[in-house]
Amino acid sequence: MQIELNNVVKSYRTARALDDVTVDLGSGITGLLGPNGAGKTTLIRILATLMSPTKGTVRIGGFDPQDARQRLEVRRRLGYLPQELGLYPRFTVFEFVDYIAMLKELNNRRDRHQKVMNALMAVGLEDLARRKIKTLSGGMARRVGIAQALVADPDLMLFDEPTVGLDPEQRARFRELIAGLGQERQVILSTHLVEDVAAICTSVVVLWEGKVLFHGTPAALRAEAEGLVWSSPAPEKDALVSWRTESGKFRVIGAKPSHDATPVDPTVEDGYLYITSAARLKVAA
Amino acid sequence: MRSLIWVEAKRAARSPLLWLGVALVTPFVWLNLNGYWPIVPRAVEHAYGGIAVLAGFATLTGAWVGLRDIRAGAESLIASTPAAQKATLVPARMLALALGAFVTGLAAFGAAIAVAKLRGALGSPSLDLILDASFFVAGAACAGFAIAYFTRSRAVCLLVGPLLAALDVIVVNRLASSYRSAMWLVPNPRTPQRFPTIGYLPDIFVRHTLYVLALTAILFGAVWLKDSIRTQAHRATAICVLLVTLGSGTALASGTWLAHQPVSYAVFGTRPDQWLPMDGRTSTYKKMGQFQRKFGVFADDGSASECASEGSFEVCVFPEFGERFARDMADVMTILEPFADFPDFPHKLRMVPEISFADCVGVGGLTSGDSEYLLSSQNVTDVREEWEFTPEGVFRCSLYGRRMLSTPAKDAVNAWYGSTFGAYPSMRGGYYTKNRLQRRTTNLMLALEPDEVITRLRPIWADLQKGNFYLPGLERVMSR
Repeated sequence: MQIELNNVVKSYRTARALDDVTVDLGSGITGLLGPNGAGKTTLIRILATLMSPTKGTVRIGGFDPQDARQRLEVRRRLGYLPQELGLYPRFTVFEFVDYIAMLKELNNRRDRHQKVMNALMAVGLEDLARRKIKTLSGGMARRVGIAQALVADPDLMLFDEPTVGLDPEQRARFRELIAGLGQERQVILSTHLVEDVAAICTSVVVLWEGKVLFHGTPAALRAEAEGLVWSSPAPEKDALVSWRTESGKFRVIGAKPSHDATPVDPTVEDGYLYITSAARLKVAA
Repeated sequence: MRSLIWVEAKRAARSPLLWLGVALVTPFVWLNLNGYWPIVPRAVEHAYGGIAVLAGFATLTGAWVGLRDIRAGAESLIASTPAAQKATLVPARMLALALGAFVTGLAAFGAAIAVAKLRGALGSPSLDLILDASFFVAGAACAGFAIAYFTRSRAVCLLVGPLLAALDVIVVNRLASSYRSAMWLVPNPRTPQRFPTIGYLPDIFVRHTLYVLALTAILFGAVWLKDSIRTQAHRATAICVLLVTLGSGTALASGTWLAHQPVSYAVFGTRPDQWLPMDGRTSTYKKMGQFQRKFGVFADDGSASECASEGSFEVCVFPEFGERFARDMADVMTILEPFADFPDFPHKLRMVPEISFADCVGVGGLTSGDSEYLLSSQNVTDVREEWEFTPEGVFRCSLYGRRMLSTPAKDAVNAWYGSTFGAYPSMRGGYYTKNRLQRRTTNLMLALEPDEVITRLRPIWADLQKGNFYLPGLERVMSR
């Protein structure tokens, strides 16, 4: 499902959440990466047809969400897990997913129930189908969120900060789940956790203050920091970014900081930090 | 959409708030039945009166359902679905809510009927009344949803149920006490008078139910309209406009009809030409003047078919009051046994729809042999505590005659009877009067044994009834 955004601007009174965003998103898992306030959620909400851009055009699978009829077509192909995980606490897991399935026009009761069970099986919740949602842990609740997004077998799945609040084990399991989903459909994942993107995404869009700083593969993002990442015994004042690592040494991004520094292979996180820090420096200058 | 309505309706019908409302209406009916001979229609009327409580809870439930997505933080998720885009979600929820509330409305009446049956009540419930009130509960739930939809405020939604219920009670009571036709325009007005053989007069319920439904349709349409405009669902917008227009037209037409209904009728028979419409602007008694000649209607059509006899007296009541009531009344009548052989003394108590404004206006005839005392089904309210009044009424009827013509001698005898046999023995000297001779005569009678007074009254009774026997004569008879 091809997604095209052309010169998209979204303004909230004086603030610009998205500033002239032009990007084409193809199949696979795309990670939207950026610090808080970068415009990730705004972009996801535009793709989820919950808001319209102030300027510019959006095409999702060839449909224009600005048009009411075409918006409906987009929604029919959409699975969405919002940042604020809104589940009805008094519903059981099955009832909730079934309820969303009804809202997604799965009208045949028998088929719908089968699809609900399939979705619950896909997220490993089939044994908890009769449990009240209010009794679930955060990780389980997230899985219910994915099940509801999955239930109508969408072409496009949007996940807004899906791993927030999960413990490391849950996050790992969750990433696996999303990676599996991305093999059959397009997934767009908004996150500020670079390791999520590095682990599962086939392409990355880095947003910073509403602008697209980077769009490419995780390998290409990593390559952005090629030759600019160092391990140094001391912190470096002039570095773009530096931080203490578990070995006690400092990881430094920027030009070679000192004689004692040794080059290291960059990671996706290094690439992300490099381009966002460089952008911050450019704005400051 | 049908599945969605069904699921939402099932959830609404399981709402603890609504069942709390039902639970509160039931004791209300139970307590109110304490003052009445238990009959099913009256229990239903009490439930109708108490339905404002359930409506308050229905409003609260509606508001809570209306805020569900906000409370759960599910607004974005729900808004991204095709159902939200087609503007079918909001009407489906409202419809389901109305359905659930309607079911609990029916349940409240079911509970009221069960309570009445437990107390041995007979009779059939009025479906008109039940439907009207249940639609009101459904409308109240929709109102709650609408308030939540438009305000999106938890505080407003928490307050709205109790406030609307309180407002409803105040407005209903104010309008009812104002005795004006506007009282029929509230969603759950005070019930009109009910006559076992005629039904409700004025019979507002079909139009009133239509009125309540029309108001609900306006609310429903307004909420749906906002939703459909927001989602640019043009077909839904057109349906909403049509719904609001139709609702407004129907509300206006039925409301106008209701506002022109009299607040009550004085009933002198079962035929419509024997019903006198009453309102707050016309003097009741002045209006009744034209009906004076029609007194004495209520020919025996056999409606009062549950009969029981005790001694010289027979009591016949409508079937819904039951044979037990007839038997109890006949038993009470035995207190009048010493008077049974008095000339023209009624031997039969027959229940009629209503005896307006005086116990004796409907007396079919006080001629010897077929004398009757007509017992108003409207006035038989508290047999348990006030049944003594019934023999007193029969006595008074026989004494004063069908026109209730009073003389000081009759008043003295009546005061003696009240003090000797009545439910509340009056002060010695009879009922308060400035007439010293009358007081003295009553005291003379009270000083005698009751049997002795009865013996002395028997020969003068016919003249006393006709008003031809005067107080000095009565004093002489009693002081012999």
